[in-house]
Amino acid sequence: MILASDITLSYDGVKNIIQNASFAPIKTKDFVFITGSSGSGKSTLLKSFYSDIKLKSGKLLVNKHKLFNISNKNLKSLRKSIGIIYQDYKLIKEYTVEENIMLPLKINGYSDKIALAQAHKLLKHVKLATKGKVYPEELSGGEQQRVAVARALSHNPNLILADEPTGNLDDESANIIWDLLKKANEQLNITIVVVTHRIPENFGLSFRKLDIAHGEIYES
Amino acid sequence: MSLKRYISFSAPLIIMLFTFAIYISISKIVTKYEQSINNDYSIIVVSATPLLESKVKELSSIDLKEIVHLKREKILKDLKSDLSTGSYKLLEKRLPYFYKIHLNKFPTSSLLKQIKIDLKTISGIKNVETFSKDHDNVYSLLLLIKSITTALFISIIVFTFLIMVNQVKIWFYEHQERLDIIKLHGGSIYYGAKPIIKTAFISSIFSSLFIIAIIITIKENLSIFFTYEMIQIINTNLTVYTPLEVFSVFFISIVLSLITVFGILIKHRIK
Repeated sequence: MILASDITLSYDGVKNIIQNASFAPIKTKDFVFITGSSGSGKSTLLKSFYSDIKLKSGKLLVNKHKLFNISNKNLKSLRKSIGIIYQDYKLIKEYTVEENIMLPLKINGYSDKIALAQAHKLLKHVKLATKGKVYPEELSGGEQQRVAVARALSHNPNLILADEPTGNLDDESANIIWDLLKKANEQLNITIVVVTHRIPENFGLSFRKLDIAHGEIYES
Repeated sequence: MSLKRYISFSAPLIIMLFTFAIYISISKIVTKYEQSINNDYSIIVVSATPLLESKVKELSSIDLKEIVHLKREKILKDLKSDLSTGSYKLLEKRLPYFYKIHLNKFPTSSLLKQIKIDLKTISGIKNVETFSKDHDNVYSLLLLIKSITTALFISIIVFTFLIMVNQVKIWFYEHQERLDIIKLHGGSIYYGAKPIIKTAFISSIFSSLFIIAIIITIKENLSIFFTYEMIQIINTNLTVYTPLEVFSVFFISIVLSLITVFGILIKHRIK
């Protein structure tokens, strides 16, 4: 699923955020938390998994795609195969909730009919069945993040990457998001990698933890 | 996309297409006028010996349509009554041959000078009258207008293109967030830019139809837009667009719009 060996990451090519770091392979159905203090490089590491940050050196494989000098074609293929959840939701404001959920399916070449049926199914799953026709700005932060989870699940990915998915949410909304991610992991066997400041108490699932400090990755 | 956004893209396109329409019309007027004056125009050649068509065709400056031999008998017959028998016989013996040379294309003043020089190189030719002083002033003026219109059309294409490029850049800036999200999901820049491509395409069709409507309106109301003298020059038939010209209006409009959008798209391709 994800293999990393001696990876070095840098935003500007000069200052390395993560240097020559490795960790044990992330396998199917793993639930992995990436933690660390602010500015430690946890989001940078997550971004490198979908090549939003280019690998400076080392070996990084995600869903069998080699990320060092990845071609545009392979990058598109990689991104189509995973689901991504962002702290700021990154929903398209000109699209309705339904259309946002349909987006990965449309990009993957599914017909409107199939994409819409899947969107309706997922809207029920995230308990927003009546909100399909509204625009994201009409929803609360918690609801928008549930739409983002539904979008990440829409095309049945085997890997979901989440960057501080509960960072902007109150506890109640955050718990709903954690429950959705746990269900995806338990029931759909989706590998989940989450960047977070704080791992929820009584999480209720076995998980791995990658802690980043001083440019190195420690597993606990 | 709001109507304002369509108009901001269509406006420069409409101005460019209008210039193109004027360019087409001026070209047609010049061509038609050229044909009309060319039919009435000929060069008179006086030759001591019969003029061979092949000799004239050899001259590179002449695009020969036909040579008409002016019958000597007719000239002699007209003069017969005024001359004595002796004088008539002498005249009959010495009267040169007269020819009218018709050209395929109305020549420019400089070409006329060259034709005169070239014709005089043929042995036997005694005189050539090109009527260069009567060379049509209106035609010269039309040629000048055509040149100005061509220069104007090219300049406006350049400025229109620059304005359209800026407009498309603004669209991309406005759509940047959506394009980024689509790229993060593995979508191509072309997928993300569909609304922009669609807007540019619709604007180009709208601009073409608008210009064709304007031209038809002008054609149907020539007397409102032009004086009687002008209408004599702008023959109503000239402003009718042929299917090829209508196609070329659409073609220029669509191609220029899509080149603008795809040119900027290439710069935004996924990295």
